[in-house]
Amino acid sequence: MKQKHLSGQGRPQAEKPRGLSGQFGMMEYIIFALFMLIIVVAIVFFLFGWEFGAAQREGLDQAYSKSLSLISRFTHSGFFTEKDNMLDDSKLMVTKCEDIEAVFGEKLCINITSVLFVGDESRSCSLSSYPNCNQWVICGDFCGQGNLLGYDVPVNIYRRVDGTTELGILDLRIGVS
Amino acid sequence: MRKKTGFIGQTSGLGRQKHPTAHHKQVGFSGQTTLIAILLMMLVFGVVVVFLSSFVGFRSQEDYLNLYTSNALISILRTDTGYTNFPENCRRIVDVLFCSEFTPSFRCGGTECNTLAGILVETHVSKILKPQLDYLLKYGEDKTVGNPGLEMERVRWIANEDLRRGNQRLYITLITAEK
Repeated sequence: MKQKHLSGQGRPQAEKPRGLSGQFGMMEYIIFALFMLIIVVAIVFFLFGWEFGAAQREGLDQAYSKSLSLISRFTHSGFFTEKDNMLDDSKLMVTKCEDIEAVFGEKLCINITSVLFVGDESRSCSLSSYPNCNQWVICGDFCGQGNLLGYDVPVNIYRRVDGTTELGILDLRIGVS
Repeated sequence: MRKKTGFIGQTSGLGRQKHPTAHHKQVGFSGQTTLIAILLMMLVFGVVVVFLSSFVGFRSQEDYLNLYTSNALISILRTDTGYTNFPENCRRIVDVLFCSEFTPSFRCGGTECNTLAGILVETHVSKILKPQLDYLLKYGEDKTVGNPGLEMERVRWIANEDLRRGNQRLYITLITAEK
């Protein structure tokens, strides 16, 4: 019988794919290991980010709660009001930033505006403009500094000159680091 | 005869059929690998959802809006109307509301209390209420000013005042909700 020459065509068909398959299998596990590594890193990153975010939110929540508490104290303090929730414009006129610091222990940015029903232009209150004015700013310099946060709430403003009660907005902001 | 292989998704692309005589591993992820990958993906998805959901409800405004609504009601009621005649019925907004409920045809500056109450409340609320909030003010038996739809609103903030004047009693409620 004529012996067949062994060439590449004569090799068993399974051998070549088996070798390739091994390489592919290796690649598969390398890719999968990388994939898992990326996922683990991502999870660690998210968990750290989450913790960091939670701490930040906690700090902000406390600052906002403090701001609410200070609003309540301000609108109930006899130093600034005629009665509860009714600010006295004559007391606001003489309130200085040092007074706020002495009462509350820190500087606060306080802006009180009486609502205007006629005309649109607010007029800042000073010794020369009082009582024909509708806006009181306390600690104005502090208002322009750093990060401030706080709330605004409706209040009454008692106009001592004519004994009337007006509607206004109190905006109180505290500094956050 | 062909036999199905793979851990899950037997007929899917990942779990392709192979010939029984072929002993080598199939190209692509095996069933277990796919399962672990899916579990990890779900874990990552869960972590991302938890991470993002932590931002929802950030700076809860519940306390603030309660205070805001309460202050708004008190402040509006105590505000002077500008009508100086008949102060008992016309001086402050709360006086006009009493007048509207018990003597609705009484006139303050030529306008009936019933009509004036609505006008005054609308004007004053529009000046102080935040643009993103809607309101409903209820007083007396069945009088209302504002959006009646707020009665049905699930998320809302409510302030109440129970006022007495002699033998007259007026119950006033202010409801605010996001538009």
